[in-house]
Amino acid sequence: MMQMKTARRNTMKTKLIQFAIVLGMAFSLGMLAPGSGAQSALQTVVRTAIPEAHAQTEETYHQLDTTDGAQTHAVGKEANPNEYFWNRYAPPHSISTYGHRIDWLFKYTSWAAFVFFMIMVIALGYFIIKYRERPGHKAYYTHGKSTKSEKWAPKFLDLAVFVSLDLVLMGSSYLHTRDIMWNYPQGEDVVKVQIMPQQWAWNFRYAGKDGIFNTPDDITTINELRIPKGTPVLAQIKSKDVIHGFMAPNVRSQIDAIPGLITKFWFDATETGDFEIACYHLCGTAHYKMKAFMTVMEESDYEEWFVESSEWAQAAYDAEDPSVKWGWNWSINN
Amino acid sequence: MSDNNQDQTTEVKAYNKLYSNHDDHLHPEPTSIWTKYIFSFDHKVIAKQFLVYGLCWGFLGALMSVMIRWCLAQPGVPFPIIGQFLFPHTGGVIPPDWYSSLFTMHGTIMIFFALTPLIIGFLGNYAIPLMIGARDMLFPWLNMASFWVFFASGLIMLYSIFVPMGPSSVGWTSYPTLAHSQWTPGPGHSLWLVALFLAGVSSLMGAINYISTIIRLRAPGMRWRDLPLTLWGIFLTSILNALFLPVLAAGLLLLLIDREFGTTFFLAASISEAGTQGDPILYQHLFWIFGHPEVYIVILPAWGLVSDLLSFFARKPAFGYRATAISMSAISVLSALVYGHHMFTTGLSPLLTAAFTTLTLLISIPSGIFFLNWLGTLWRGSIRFTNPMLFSLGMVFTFGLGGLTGLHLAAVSTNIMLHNTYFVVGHFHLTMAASSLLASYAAVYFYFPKMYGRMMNKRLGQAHFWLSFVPIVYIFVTMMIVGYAGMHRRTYNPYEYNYLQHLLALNQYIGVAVAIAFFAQFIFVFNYWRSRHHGVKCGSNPWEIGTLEWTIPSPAPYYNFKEIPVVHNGPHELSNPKTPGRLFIPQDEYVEGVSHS
Repeated sequence: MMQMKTARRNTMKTKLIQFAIVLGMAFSLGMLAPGSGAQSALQTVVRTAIPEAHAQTEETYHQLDTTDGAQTHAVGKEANPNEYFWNRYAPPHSISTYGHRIDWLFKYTSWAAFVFFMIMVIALGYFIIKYRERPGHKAYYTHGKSTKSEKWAPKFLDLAVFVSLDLVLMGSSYLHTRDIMWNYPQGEDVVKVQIMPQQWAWNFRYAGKDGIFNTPDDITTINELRIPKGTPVLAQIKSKDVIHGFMAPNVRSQIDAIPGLITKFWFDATETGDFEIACYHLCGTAHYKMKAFMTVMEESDYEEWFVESSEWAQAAYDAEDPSVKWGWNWSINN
Repeated sequence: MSDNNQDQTTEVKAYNKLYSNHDDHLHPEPTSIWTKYIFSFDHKVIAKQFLVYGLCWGFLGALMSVMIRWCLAQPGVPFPIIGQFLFPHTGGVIPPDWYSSLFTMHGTIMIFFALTPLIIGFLGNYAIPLMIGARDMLFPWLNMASFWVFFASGLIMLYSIFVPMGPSSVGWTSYPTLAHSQWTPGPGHSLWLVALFLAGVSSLMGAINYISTIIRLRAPGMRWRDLPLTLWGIFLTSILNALFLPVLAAGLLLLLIDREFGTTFFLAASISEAGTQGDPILYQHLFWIFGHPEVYIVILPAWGLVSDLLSFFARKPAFGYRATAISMSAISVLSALVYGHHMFTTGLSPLLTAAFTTLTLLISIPSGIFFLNWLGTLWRGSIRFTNPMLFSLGMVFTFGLGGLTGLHLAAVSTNIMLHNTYFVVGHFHLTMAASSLLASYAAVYFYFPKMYGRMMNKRLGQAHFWLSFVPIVYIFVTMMIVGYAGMHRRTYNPYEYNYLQHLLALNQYIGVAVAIAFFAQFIFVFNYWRSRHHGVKCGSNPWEIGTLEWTIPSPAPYYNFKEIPVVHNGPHELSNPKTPGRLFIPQDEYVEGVSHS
């Protein structure tokens, strides 16, 4: 009986099936490899299968191309229809010093998850085909403890997932927390901004020339955040009414704005241009329109704008108007 | 089917002197329509009530999802046919405030009024007494009350859609301070809170009943390790429900008091009229202490059921029964400790985020174990592709996909990029909604013969499966792609943003897939309706398996078991080599060398 089983296992057919599985896995993995031929094949398949998507995307891209330069920049190169499928639907390109770390972790997790998913799908497909009910085929009676390999195979695979995915995620999250989330920039040259979203607009406040918040020379802007390139920006956020969510997709950082509580985050832009800021937290009917722009400027341009705006603000300050005093005292404890 | 009920009653009473718990649950069969079909104590009737009510709500929730997807695929285009009647002032175009209401009500309805009654109300009520060899629930009156409180709560929820200023529009999470009356005025959201509170009361009643029934009414000889895995799932779900629904109830009640009586539990001093200090984040803690276990509340019965069905239709015992049961219990414990990952962007202390990241990722160990046990069950089986099996296999696929994409969201560094995007929407729909829905359908296809004594049409079932499964996977995988590209949830018109404009095409494909999946559900409704009277008649055990409910006639008689069975075997004694030539051993049959006494 045992010999018969062994003989059956080694038939040509079984070997072919095993070979097909390995080939399938290799192809599936190759499909996502950057710049690989398999990926181009996938792209062709996608374009043939959904030609409208291709056409529409191209149209959108050209429309945007003909509008003013700032918008084209905000769209970024990912809208280019000539790019690979996965690149075309990649998030807006990263402009912060730490964005690439998040991108890398996302890609790593997706890849590793994809490998395990393929193993699962192949096992599922293989079992479904090989072990379907048919005359002469009998189920093998086991509670999963009959042999050593039955007992340990699931545990081993589970451990493989844990080590290759979970431990990496844990480690990266720890490093992310240590280096970014809990490592606020310090020093004189840090650009400090107070952000107060309201239904449905973004208020930004700079301390002005005196470096103290809530004074007459504060610069305030609406829906426009101007920051210098290459200098860390530390922002404190508090909402005026309901909870909003500050998200600049190019920066890869998101923080909620909460009434009565000051939250903070920081980033350091590496590229000049105009980028979009979106409200990511449902805040009412016009939530979808709560958009702001972030303009990253060369440091000298920013300085010029800053000094000039501060003087204008000082000159135009109206002490009688309570709405201009929404800022709060900047404290390191906040 | 129960002509000799009286004789059986006396017979059974004599037998049951030893087992007084069972004896209490023999009540005479009702004769009037009111007591038989409406205010019935019978767990099987209550299960059907939950099923029908859940399916009606599911239809409404699905219709809302179609409208949501219409907005995203065709912004500014009137919704066909019913749009003119619903939104006459805009010429049929769904306005933005109604869009908010649509996704709020879609989420609420699908979780609390469609999946909960289907996978807990229907499956729990139908399966528990039959699978443990009992005549009814331990508290039949409480069981009936549970349905009728739920029914009332559903009516309030339905009414809230038609009140002035519209239904609730603050998302199913109902975060303050948007949920306060200053920003969401009108009775809609208050009614929403009351309805959800009542739904919680109903679930709590059900949970207490399920827990006590499984503990007290198991047939003699049924050890915990003889319990079908379905019941392990329902048991753990009920424990989570009993522990965490009160937390939600507290949060909802405080919010209701805030709205109606001007208290400031969740209002900051700077925005409250009285100037008294509350905390909007406190609500989020209360909500997610319940909200994360809720995910497992909805999915645990599905896991249990699929573990059983895979074993039944692969014709071999469940692979690693013990490990599966322990894993599900471990997940239930862990589920209470990970809720913080829903709040990573609220300025939570980085120390806490690290802790919650670690705890969340730990869940993947027990999840991986029982998932691999599913594959182990299929391995070297003899798989029958019945309709329940198709839906179970579909669930294995969607849950595998959803589970693996949860890793991105567990880690804080990728979470702060993906939070509130469609990546989250795609992920939780795959894990919780799609998996749980497919398992609910598996449950209906599986128990239909026991409910009506007839089989559902196999071909129609297959059409239903493929036309649901393929679009479902397409929809939610594509949602994850657009989410990664940056599209955030709950936006009426994402194309306001330049960096999202190129996603229109993908959103349109999702819309097409949603329409296919939506209309495919009518195949199921037709199949169900028709098979009740025209399906192929079946015997007591059409699936050829050994659990207790298949030892009694189909449809199941009012009193379930003529004699309370004595259990000798586990639930999955299939293809046992010690009984050659036999496909299965019923749980109540004693076989020398296989059974325990």
